[in-house]
Amino acid sequence: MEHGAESRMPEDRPIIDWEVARRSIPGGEAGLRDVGGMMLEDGPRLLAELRAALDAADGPRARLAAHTLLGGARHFGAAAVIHAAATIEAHLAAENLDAAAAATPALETQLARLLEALRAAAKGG
Amino acid sequence: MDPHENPTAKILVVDDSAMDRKVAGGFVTEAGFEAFYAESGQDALDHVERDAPDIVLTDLRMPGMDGLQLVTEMRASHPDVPVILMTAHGSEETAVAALRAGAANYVPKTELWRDLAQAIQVVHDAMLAARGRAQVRDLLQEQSLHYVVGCERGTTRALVGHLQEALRQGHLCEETDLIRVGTALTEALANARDHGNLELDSTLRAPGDGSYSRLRLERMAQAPYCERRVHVHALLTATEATFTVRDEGRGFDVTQLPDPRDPANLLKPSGRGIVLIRTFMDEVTFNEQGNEIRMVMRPDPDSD
Repeated sequence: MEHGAESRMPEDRPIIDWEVARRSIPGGEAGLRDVGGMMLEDGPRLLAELRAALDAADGPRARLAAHTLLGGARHFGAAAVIHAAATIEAHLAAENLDAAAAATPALETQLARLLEALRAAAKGG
Repeated sequence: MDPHENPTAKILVVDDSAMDRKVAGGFVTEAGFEAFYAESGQDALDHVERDAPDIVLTDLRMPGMDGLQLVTEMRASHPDVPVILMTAHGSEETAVAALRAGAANYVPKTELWRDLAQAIQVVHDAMLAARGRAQVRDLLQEQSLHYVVGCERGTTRALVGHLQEALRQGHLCEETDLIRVGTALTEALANARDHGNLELDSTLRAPGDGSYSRLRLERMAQAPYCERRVHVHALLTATEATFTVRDEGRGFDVTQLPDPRDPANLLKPSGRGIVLIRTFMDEVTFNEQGNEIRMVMRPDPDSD
């Protein structure tokens, strides 16, 4: 998996910390590719799960989705995604579903950045 | 390392997140262990039944049966399979509860790359050591212990504790039965000391005027009583424990011993010790002279 300028957002630091990713994911380049592919599949699914759970006012289910997303982002050192997901998890721990819903767009934005960077890296571009 | 002596440990990785399973399993494999996977606590229990892992490595927060419940279940149903926790921010309290519930170790999820291999190795080494002890125990044909004790009561208590520990280490006795066996041994030693060597008649207890204790103290300093010893022999095998307690007194008429099946004997002022011994031990016999009791206990075949 390649990495570099494609991972950077012009207005921010890189969404993926490749040093953390190389350290946190076993299996070298193949491992990065595999886990990156899994994040590309699971990330949108978990975000949809979070939204559906919030719509259903199911706090525990929403918290599990946010927690799992956070865990996935952690493998890539994606601090912006981790921060956004942790904010939602904290709101849900306090049973504040409205605040969690209000914080979800920020997570969506940062997750989109992460997924885009992973797609770019997978293409080797 | 000879794989026949120390085959690759099988690690069951339990996590509801496919990504986290992949990552943890990757580090397990890189550390030289074999990884296989479960997606939930219940799935893990099914795998444990079917695949007999050496170690379970589990996430804490999972839908359905979580990591803490899994640790509790494992402790109850598979206490010989250690569980290592993967912890994350926000699950610290659950992790502490799981460690108290019986988890063997933990590794923060953010530090798997650095700490997981060592954590597994530490638990694996401890597990092999425990299995080694169990193997040696299985090889043991018999253990023979012989003690000679005087009339001091403290010595009797220490000796019974020592014999209980030998039974525990030999897995010859359940924890609850240890107390019953200890009671039987204590009664046998007291009988040998007081009624055998010191020749104290238990009917002296009935008046409750201290005459039994006074005579006891007197004879503990008076020949020939004070020179007599109690000989205790314990023979422990894989299938039974035999205790022989012999005193150096005159013996007694064993045909007069109380029958433990008769409830009336439970209320009599004398003979209680013999009733307890006959109740708690599987087999009780006396020599012809009546100065030696032989007690056999066998582990419950339904217990581990």
